Amino acid sequence: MTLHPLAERALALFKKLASIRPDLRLVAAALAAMGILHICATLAAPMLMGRSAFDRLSPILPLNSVVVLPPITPENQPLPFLTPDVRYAMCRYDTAQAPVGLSVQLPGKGWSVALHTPEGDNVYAATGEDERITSLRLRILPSDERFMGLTPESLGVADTSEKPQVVRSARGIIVLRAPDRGHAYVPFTEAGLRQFTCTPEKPR
Amino acid sequence: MQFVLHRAKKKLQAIILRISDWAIFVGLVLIGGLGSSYYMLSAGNSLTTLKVGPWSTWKHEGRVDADPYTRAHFARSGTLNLTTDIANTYQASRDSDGLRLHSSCEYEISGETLDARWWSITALDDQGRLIANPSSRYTFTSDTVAISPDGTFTVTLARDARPGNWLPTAGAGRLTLAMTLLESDAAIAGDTEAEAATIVLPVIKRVACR
Repeated sequence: MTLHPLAERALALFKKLASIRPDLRLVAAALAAMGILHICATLAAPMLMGRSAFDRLSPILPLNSVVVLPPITPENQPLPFLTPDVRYAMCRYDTAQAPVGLSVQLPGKGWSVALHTPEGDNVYAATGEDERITSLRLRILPSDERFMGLTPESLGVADTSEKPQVVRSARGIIVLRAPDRGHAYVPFTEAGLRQFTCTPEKPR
Repeated sequence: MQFVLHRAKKKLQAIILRISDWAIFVGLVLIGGLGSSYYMLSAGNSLTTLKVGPWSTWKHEGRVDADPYTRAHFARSGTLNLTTDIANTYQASRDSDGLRLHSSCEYEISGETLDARWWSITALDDQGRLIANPSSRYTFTSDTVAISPDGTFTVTLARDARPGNWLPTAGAGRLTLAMTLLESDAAIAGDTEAEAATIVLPVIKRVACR
C-alpha cells in the first residue's frame, strides 16, 4: 500500500517523535512550573490588568455624594458593557472618616441597589418588588474594628429611631439601577433616582 | 592552533545546545502556564461559566465568594456587574449555529417571555461599546419590547430599519449581545449543566448576510 507523500512525511515525523525518550523528571518539572505560573498569573491578574470599574468611575464620582448619570449613549458610556437598559445613580463611598448613611427607595420591579467593592464584589444587593415601594436605610461601617463614637444609650439617651441595616465595607461604589420603561416614564424614573441619598454620618 | 579552535567550537556547540534546551523548557512553561491562565480568564470552563445555547454567563460574578478566575475575568473587563444572587448577565458572540455575530448579517432573536422579573437585551460591539445609530436604539427590555399575543417575541438585529423590535447594528463589525435577567429562578439555580438544560433563553438565528 502506498501512502500520500504528505502522509509518509507525517508518519516519519511521528516515528521520530515516538523514538525520543523524554526525561520524565524534566517533564514533571515543566508541568509543575506551568502549574505554578498558571496560579501566579491568575491570582496576580486583578492587580496587573488595566483599570477596574472602580478606578474608571472614581474621577467622575465625588466622595460620599450621589451622582445621577445621564442616559447611557455611545458618546457617554463610562464602562464597557454598561448598558442603557437602566438609568444609573452612583455614590462613591469611603468610611475612613465616618460611617456612611444610605437611604433609597425601590419603587417597582427592575429597580435594584448594590454595593460594589473596588474589587467588584457585591457586599449588598436588593431589588424592587412588583407594585410596591421598598424603602431601604443602610449604615455602611468600616470593616476593621474602630471607635466610631458613642451610642445614644451610652450617653443616657433612649434611641427611638428606626435602626438601619448595617453593612461593613471600607470603600466602594453604591449603584442604584432604574429600569428603562420608555419615554413616558422618564420623569418617574428620574424622581426615583433623585430620592437616593448617601451622606457621611456625623460623630455623636 | 587548529586543534584549539576545534575544541572551542565543540565547547560552544555544547553550550548552545544546553541553552537551547533551557530556552525550549522555559518557552514551553511560559506558553503552557500563561496560555492556560489566559484561556481560563477569557473563556472559562464548566466550573466557572454556564452555557445555554449561544449564551454564556459567569456563575459567580459579583459574588464575595467568587473564584479567582471569575475575579480576574471581571477585573480585566472593567465592568460593574450585579451579583448572581439577584441577576444573571448572559453574553452571546455567536448565533445558535455557532457562527460569529457580525453587523454584515441580519439576525432574529426569538423566544418566549423569559422567566424573570425583568430582563433586557442589548446589542454592543465586541469590545462592549454601544453601537451609534441615528435612531438611538440600543436595547429592549421586558417593558419596552413588543410581545406577540402568543407570548413570544422577536428582536431583529440588522443594519437597516426593520418592522417590530429592531436593534440597529450599523457597521460595528463583530457583535456581542448582552442579556440581563433580574431575579430569574431558573437562571440563579442554573449552576450545573443539568440545571442549565432547564433554562430557556432566546434563539439567535441568522437570516441573511450581505
